This record gives sequence, structure tokens and C-alpha cells, in this order.
Amino acid sequence: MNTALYLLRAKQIGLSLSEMDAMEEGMVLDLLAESANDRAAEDGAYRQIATQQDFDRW
Amino acid sequence: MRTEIPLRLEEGEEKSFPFRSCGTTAIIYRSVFGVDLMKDFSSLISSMGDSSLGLLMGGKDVDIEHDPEALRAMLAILESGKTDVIYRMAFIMNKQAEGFKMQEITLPQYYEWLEQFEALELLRNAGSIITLYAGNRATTSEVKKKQGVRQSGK
Repeated sequence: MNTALYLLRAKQIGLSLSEMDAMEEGMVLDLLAESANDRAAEDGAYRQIATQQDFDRW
Repeated sequence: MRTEIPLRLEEGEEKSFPFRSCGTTAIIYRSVFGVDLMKDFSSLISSMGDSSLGLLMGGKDVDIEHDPEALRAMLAILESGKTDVIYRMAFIMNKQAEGFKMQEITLPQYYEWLEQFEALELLRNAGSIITLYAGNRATTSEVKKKQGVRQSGK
């Protein structure tokens, strides 16, 4: 990650510069990771597609 | 993260300087110097060998006058050509600890700030400076999955 992307992602989750100033960079990166996990779940990234075995069992 | 580091001034006396790294350190660094701390820092770390890095970040006093390993570690930084990264990080983190706002930190201040130290003094304390910024970057969360669908049973 570079600084521009870091700032963009932080702004996308609504962090202000004064909030970022009060936290460590690691905490900001943790928030970005958790936000990405939430988005992936909402977008259905974790859904499963049935395989032939599932159909056979059914 | 915040720490105090005693540094020797040009006139020979020692003074304790506060340093603070936080979520805006890289942003201020970019704004003042026009270059990317995240890239610079990765490049600095990868250009130093593991043994140099281990020694500098070991938390011990680095005595380059009497310890050949310490001298080698400092030479590794000099040879990497990344000494500026350490000076710039130290400057930004000192100004942040002194409560300066982003718009109050300028490039001319940097040159003036740098001139007050004895030659090599910041490099002698490179371990503490690197440790402070690296400690500020420690994370506990990770991105669990890449985007995409998963097949059942896999």
C-alpha cells in the first residue's frame, strides 16, 4: 500500500485526519481490513456454489 | 506511539527530543517532502540486512565506536543510500510530538532542524527511530478472503 491509497481508503470509511492523528497507523490499517471483510461478506464473496457431489447427495 | 530520544547537538551538548508516530505520519511526510514514506520505509527495511536490522532494533545502545557489528549496521544504512528516509521520519515524528499541525510543518524547517545535530547523530539513533515507526504500523486484523466465490467442500 502507498500513502495515497492509504488516505483514500481511510477517507472512504469516513475517517478524518484528526481521527487518524489520534490513532496509530496499524489501527487505521486494521479498520481498513475489517471494512474490506464486511464489504466482502455483503457482496456475497463467502457464498458457496454447489458442486456435483452436492447435487448427487440431494 | 511516543518516545524520547537523547540526541547530541552540534555544540556537543545532549538534549532529549520527543518523537511521536501515528496514523497521519505518512500523510504529513508526503505533504512536506512530496515522497511516499510507506514505499521509502519498505525500501529502507529491505535494503538493510536482517542482522543489521536486528541489531538496530534490538533495543540496546548502538555503540559504533566500540562495537564492530554496530558499525557494520550503520554502514549498511549508509550504503543503502536511504539515510534521508531516517532523517525525514525523525523530523516529522519530532514535529508531531511537539504538537505541530500538518500545515505548520515545512521543508525549510527540516533543513534548519537537521543542522542542529552532530554529524551522524540521527544515524546513531536510527534503531530507535525505525522501531518507533515500525511499532506504530503493527496490525492485528487481516483481510480474510479475496473477492470471489468458493466452491463447496473446498
